[in-house]
Amino acid sequence: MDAQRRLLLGWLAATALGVLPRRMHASQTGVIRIAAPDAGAEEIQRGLDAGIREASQTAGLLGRRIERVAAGRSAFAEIAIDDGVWIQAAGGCRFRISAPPAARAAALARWLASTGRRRCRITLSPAADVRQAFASAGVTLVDTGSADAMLIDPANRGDAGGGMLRVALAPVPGQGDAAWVAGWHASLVKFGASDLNERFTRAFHAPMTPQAWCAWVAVKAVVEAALRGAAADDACRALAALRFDGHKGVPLGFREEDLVQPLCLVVREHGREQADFVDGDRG
Amino acid sequence: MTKHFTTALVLTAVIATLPFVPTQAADGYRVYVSNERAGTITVIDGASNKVVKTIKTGFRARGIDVRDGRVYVALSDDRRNAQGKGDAIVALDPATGRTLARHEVGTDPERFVLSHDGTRLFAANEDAGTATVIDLASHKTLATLIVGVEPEGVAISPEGRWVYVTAETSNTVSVIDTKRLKVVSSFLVDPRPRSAAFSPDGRYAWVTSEIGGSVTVVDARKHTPIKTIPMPPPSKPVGIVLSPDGKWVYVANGYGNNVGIIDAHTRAIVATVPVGKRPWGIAVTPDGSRVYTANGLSNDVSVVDTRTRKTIATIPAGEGTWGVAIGE
Repeated sequence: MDAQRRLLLGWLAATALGVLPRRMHASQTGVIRIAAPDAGAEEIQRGLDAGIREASQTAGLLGRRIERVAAGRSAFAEIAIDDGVWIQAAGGCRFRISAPPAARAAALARWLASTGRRRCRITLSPAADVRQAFASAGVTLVDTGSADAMLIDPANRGDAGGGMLRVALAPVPGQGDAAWVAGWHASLVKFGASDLNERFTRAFHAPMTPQAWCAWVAVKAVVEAALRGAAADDACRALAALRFDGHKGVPLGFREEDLVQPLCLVVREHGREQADFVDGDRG
Repeated sequence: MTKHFTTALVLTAVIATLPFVPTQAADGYRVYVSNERAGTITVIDGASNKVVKTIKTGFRARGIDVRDGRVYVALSDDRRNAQGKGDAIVALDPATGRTLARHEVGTDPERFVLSHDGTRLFAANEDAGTATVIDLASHKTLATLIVGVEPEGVAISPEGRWVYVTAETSNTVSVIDTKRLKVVSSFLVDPRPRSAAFSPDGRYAWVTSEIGGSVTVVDARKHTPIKTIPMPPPSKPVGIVLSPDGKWVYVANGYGNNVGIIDAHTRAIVATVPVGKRPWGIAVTPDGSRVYTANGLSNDVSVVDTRTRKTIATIPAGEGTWGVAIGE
């Protein structure tokens, strides 16, 4: 028996026994598998659930089905939680959904400058990217003396990293009024953001946090790439080329490994938080 | 001289006996404009482009159509995701502003379409992710159909067989068979599809995608996209309408603040006409000579002369100008 014939017989036997590789089987049945961790922050799990729920409705219309599997299992792509929310796919590509700390620092510094707040007091040494962002925006960081704002958390970790670069606002820094830049906020209204926030709150009785939005949009991007025809072994290329909607008013897409996206400035005054989009095309 | 005078007299007599045909662009037509934040309907005289009436609805007014002497408008109240007293599609008497009929189609109704015989109403239910079919005479819900997530645009084919429902979050268009009252097909288009319109011969449908910045041409017999036309940046296509002869496609380009004109045959963009801020709804007169846009951020209506492709008038409307329909 020559090698080709043995290969053919082996393939037929495997088909009969149902032991073909999972990916091929998934493709045949129209199943789109998404791997995601089933533990971790509750808000991320809510975002994943919201994404899977909506993607399932879309996929159902198109004759496909979404299946969530455990992290590490064979899938079209995996949603990973690291120092933020990431998408990773076979082929070694990784795409970060969470707003990069440097981008958030730059947006916050630009907003301070635009509101005439040119002196910002620091108590701890800020990260290098924060210093760079504030210098570029023309905001001077000072250790002592009068200031228009005060940097509260100089660590500048990502949306899902537990820390959020924020400033307390003059005239009475430390009295509760503050501002920060995030990838999402539950008070956003424009560009259909209020519709998404409403849907999420109705489903989970909790606001859509930046982390929840990252998880939701990660699922949306993965499913959209698959529904538009990409196979699992082509997921990296498809995701890199994808232009999709995240309720931010402009097409979202990846530049190298980062999601290019408008961010939002959140201002807390008198205990009330109000956000609006900054950066990007606001129409 | 006498001969010429006699000829002129005869010609005058002949012309005088000819039946009067109104110039369709203006005479006899009125433009009805919904104002989302003002909660009103602005009524504009097509001949003079003057506001002749403002009808108060008391609620958020969005989708609008005119049929058989009635103005149909989608109203909603402040309570989202809950059926409130303001959530309905109502039929108004344009002369008195009185409500003639009220049809509950779910929470926060936005866009809808009437069947050509005026007996049924197809509405997109954004909150529920469904499309509802209502019998207008009995007010009964004939079907509630699952479509994409965040459904919005609704369009009916010229022969009345198909209704297309766009869904903003799913990026899908779902096809409802109006005979069987079932979703028989769905397909993907570019991100955030808003509106759809059929060609007069029913062969094609045109779908706008706001975030995609494009218009998709669909084979309406096979329900399959066949071409995507990118609109010039920063266009954000929302409303869409075809000229009555099917030769031109007019696209309200939202935040692009213009109307894009596409040659329906070559599918090439032939012009962009600056209008007010964020044109949303769009309508064309029955003779195709005028296009009206509802401009949501400048609270006015632009009138475009389709021959010169220029805006010839801007008419103040109510706050949050949203939709526009043309009727008698």
